[in-house]
Amino acid sequence: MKMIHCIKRWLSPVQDMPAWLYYLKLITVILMFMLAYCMAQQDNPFFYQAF
Amino acid sequence: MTDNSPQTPQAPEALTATMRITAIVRVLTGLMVMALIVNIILNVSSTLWPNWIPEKMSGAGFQKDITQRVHAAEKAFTSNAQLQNQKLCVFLGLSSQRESVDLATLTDIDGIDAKYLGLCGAGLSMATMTQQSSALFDSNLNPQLAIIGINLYHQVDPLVIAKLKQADAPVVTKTGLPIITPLLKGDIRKTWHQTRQRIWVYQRRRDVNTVLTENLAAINTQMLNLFGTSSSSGSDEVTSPWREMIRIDGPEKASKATYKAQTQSYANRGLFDVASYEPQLITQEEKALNDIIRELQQRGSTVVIMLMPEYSSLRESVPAVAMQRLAENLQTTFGDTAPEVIDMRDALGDDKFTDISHVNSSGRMAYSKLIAPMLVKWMQ
Repeated sequence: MKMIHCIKRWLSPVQDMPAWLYYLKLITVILMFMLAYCMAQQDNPFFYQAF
Repeated sequence: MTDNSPQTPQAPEALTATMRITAIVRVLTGLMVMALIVNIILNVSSTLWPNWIPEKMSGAGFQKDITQRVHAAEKAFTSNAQLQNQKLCVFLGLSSQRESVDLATLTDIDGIDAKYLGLCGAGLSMATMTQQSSALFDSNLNPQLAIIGINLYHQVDPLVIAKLKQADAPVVTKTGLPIITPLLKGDIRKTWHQTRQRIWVYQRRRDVNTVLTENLAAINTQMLNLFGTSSSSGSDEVTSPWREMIRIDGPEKASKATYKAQTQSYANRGLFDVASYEPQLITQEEKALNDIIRELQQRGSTVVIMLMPEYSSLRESVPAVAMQRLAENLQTTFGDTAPEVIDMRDALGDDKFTDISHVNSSGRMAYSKLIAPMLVKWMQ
């Protein structure tokens, strides 16, 4: 029980905001980070100079 | 009273700092948990719906890409009268040639009115090359020059060797739990490698990147069309058959440990064993190569086999018998019409490699400049 309580405490929203908004923000940060990471794998850094 | 008064305002400040640190740690914990959940969802979704993001950097992805290039080239030669008099040079091979050739460099240097078609895929042996480039042989294209870029160890199919080894040693060695076992042994490098193999975004980063890039470029083209203008290059970088081949573009230089690990991985596939090059074990690969050469020669192409540049440790590890087998096979099968074999294995220094069998960006430029005059000679 203590462990569950501990996990709940650390995963609860940090401010006075709804839980769904808090988790949505977390997911947005993760997805944006993933997108940035993938885009950083650009094959050719001069690709867009062609346009 | 005067002694205690300065201490009074410090209490709330200390409390605020703790709260701030706690909040940061909470958010970081939340981010880690979310990353874990997103990773699980993506892994599961890729298992259930494998094609929701197409595999661009795998055998099927390369075959699809090569097929599109062939069809686009066919269409270009049919529809564009200006291309009728131009010579066509195709590059066939696997990742070693795909990473080594910069088509733009060849176009800039040679001065020959030629079109270069990059049809190199990825795989372990020559049979894969035949399969991935099959679209060329279903097409009406008749290249004047065909460069087949291979490594000597492509004569060996690691699956054949693995089956033999399995028959010799039927007892499966216990490797333990992934991630946990190497972690307990203190092998951080192996722990990290096994962890990243399970991170979806690491595994599929280039697929995501390619899909995003293609879509952005498609939007760009549509916008240019909408405003009645064209790109500075005058060609569609997504569908043009003359575009550069797909590249992995690894780091410019790997660590010594990486070179060592790769060499070991190649050794585990039996590529450095003399016994792996026994004629009865490489029949299928020889046949695959011979079929490609025969088909190209029937189309009137000058066929040249390039032995691609290799990192020194790889070059030294492949047994000399590999070269003998290739020469014997070509001589026996084709006699006087055997294609020329150009040995470029030691053409580049070790600083030009991103790993033991793939060149880095400076290696690509250096190699392309090296072969450009050769292409001029063969196409004249």
